[in-house]
Amino acid sequence: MIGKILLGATMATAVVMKDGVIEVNVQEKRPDGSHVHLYLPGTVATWGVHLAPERRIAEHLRGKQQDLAIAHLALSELEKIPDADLVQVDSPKEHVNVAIRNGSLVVDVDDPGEKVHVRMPIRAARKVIEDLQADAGGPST
Amino acid sequence: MPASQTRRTILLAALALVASALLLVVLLRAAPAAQAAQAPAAAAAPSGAERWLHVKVDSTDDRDERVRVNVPLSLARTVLNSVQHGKLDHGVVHIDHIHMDDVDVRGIVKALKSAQDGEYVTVEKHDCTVHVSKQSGMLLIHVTDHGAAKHDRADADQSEHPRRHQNVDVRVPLEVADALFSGSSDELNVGAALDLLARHEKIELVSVKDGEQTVHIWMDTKTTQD
Repeated sequence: MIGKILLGATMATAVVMKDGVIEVNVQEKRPDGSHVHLYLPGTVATWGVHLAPERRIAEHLRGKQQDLAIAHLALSELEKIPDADLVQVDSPKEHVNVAIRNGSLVVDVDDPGEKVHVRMPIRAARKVIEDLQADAGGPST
Repeated sequence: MPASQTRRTILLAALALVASALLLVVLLRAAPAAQAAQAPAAAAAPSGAERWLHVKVDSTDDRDERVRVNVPLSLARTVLNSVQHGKLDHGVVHIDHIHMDDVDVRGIVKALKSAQDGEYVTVEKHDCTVHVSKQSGMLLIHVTDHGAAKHDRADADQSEHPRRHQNVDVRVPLEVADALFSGSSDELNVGAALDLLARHEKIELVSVKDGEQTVHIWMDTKTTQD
């Protein structure tokens, strides 16, 4: 039993370590507002692409090879850079922050309506784009 | 507990231990490599360090807005040079109708490149003064607008919102300006300009100041604006 637990824990750790963790936290500020907080292994994102019907993905991505190639280039560049705040917008009503933290793209938005926090491992995002490129007929560049 | 089940448990535990050990080995090997990869970036010689383009906007008007943008130049160059959409074609911006009061900017930049340091263009109007000069390979443009109107408030009464004083300073290395205008007359070669800009280590590019807003654009090797 202990062996199974250990094995499961090891495998789970390996999956999480491989592509990091996607975090989505959306909190509406009205009194009966919803609060969604999700943690997902980054690998799940790539599984999602593999699970979706290939033909449907190809249809949706027709003519988007260049966009995917640009996204892939941008993510590859972002992967190389150290922790940094890329964009900060502060006003009395709104706060927006886009940053790189430990290899993840972190987006924080705090406005009168809601508070949003998204953390996306760049490596996982790049792999998703690569899978989408393959489904869309291969990278264009 | 039957002997077969005990053997299975032991086998699973052993497997788990081996997997854990493998994972630890991988992580321990990866950690120094990652540190080594980060260390040169932090201590690298300025010439090899990543260049960052910084934009700082502070509004003191009723919006009271503060904007900070930090972009690695390599990211800007890579994306810009790969985009082909609308008027942007792999780093070249096509401009259909460029009217600069019939001023031949390309000609001026070319002439300034080979000229000595000094002030070359001065335009003085009742509400605006423009100075263009060359100093140590830099093209310096200073504009003082004595009556910048608030175009964003077309409906506002001018008497309520009096015209404001505005200072604009632009500093561009001449080779960068030359690269920017290196294409045909209806295009700007932004990609080539950024490539040459990246050769500089630290440079103040644009400064705009008026009563309600300051804009500052510069490039250096720091990831932050401190």
